[in-house]
Amino acid sequence: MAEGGGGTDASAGDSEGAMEADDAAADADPLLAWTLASFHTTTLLAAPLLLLYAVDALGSLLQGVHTATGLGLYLALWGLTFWTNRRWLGATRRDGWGAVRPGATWGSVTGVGFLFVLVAAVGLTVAEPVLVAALALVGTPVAALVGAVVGAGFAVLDLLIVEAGQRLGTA
Amino acid sequence: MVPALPLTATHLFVRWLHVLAMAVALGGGALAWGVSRVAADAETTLAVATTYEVAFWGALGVLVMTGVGNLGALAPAIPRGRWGVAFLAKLGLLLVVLVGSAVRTAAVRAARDATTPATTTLERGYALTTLALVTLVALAAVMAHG
Repeated sequence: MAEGGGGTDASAGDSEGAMEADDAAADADPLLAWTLASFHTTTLLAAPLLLLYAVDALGSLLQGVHTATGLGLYLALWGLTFWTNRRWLGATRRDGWGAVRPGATWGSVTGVGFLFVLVAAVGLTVAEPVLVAALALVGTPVAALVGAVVGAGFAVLDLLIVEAGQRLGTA
Repeated sequence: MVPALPLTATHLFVRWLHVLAMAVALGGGALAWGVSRVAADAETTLAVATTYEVAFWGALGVLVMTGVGNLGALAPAIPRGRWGVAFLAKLGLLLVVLVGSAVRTAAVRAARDATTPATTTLERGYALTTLALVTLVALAAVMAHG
């Protein structure tokens, strides 16, 4: 991810870096990006669902979410995860620990991006600008941190999955 | 057994989508298994496998999304007891299917690039996937009808 820069050279560098990232993302294997994005999204929902049901907290949580809103949030997470996974695959050769840091970076982007979607959904529902602004302000560093941890975890898991597939797929 | 609830058009649509997604995942899995058993060449097996993998992950994404939608229709009184045991078993098996399928797709991807693709491994992978999805459907039937 591009760091913030103040001068013209830095801006030119950022722009060049962004273009390189776009090119690399375009080169990423679409099947792998689609697989990992869907795998991450479904796991991110199914695993907490199991835990929430086990502690009897699922019913009250789902009661507060309208079906259409829930479907919309899920589709937003799925799309966002596909976009960040393509960036991650473009930024790494998946050859070891070097892939984990970009995984954390793009996981962080996913976390903050999803928070903004969530904040927009809350904003449309409650129409309380101060509450929405506070949620965005307090939530951004938390979402970035959680996203980075989850992204790094998935990067390690993805490396193991790709390695296992490599061994199984070739005779 | 789930208590009868008044269904809205949204809930009916979500249920229909859930069943359709499982039909794609399970029917496609059985097809990919059958093709990998009878196809004479690896090229046909890999073409069917690649198409299935794209459809499978789309179907799984829709299955999880609509599965939560179905749960939402029951909230806040989500049943426990025998229904809960079947639900926990279904979610646990689903997580196994997700990880296993990610490995299977990675194997298909590697086989496409290999000079000697491991089609027997893919055949076993599709057999396991089909079996696991049939078990998920059986657990869903237990949850719906007791």
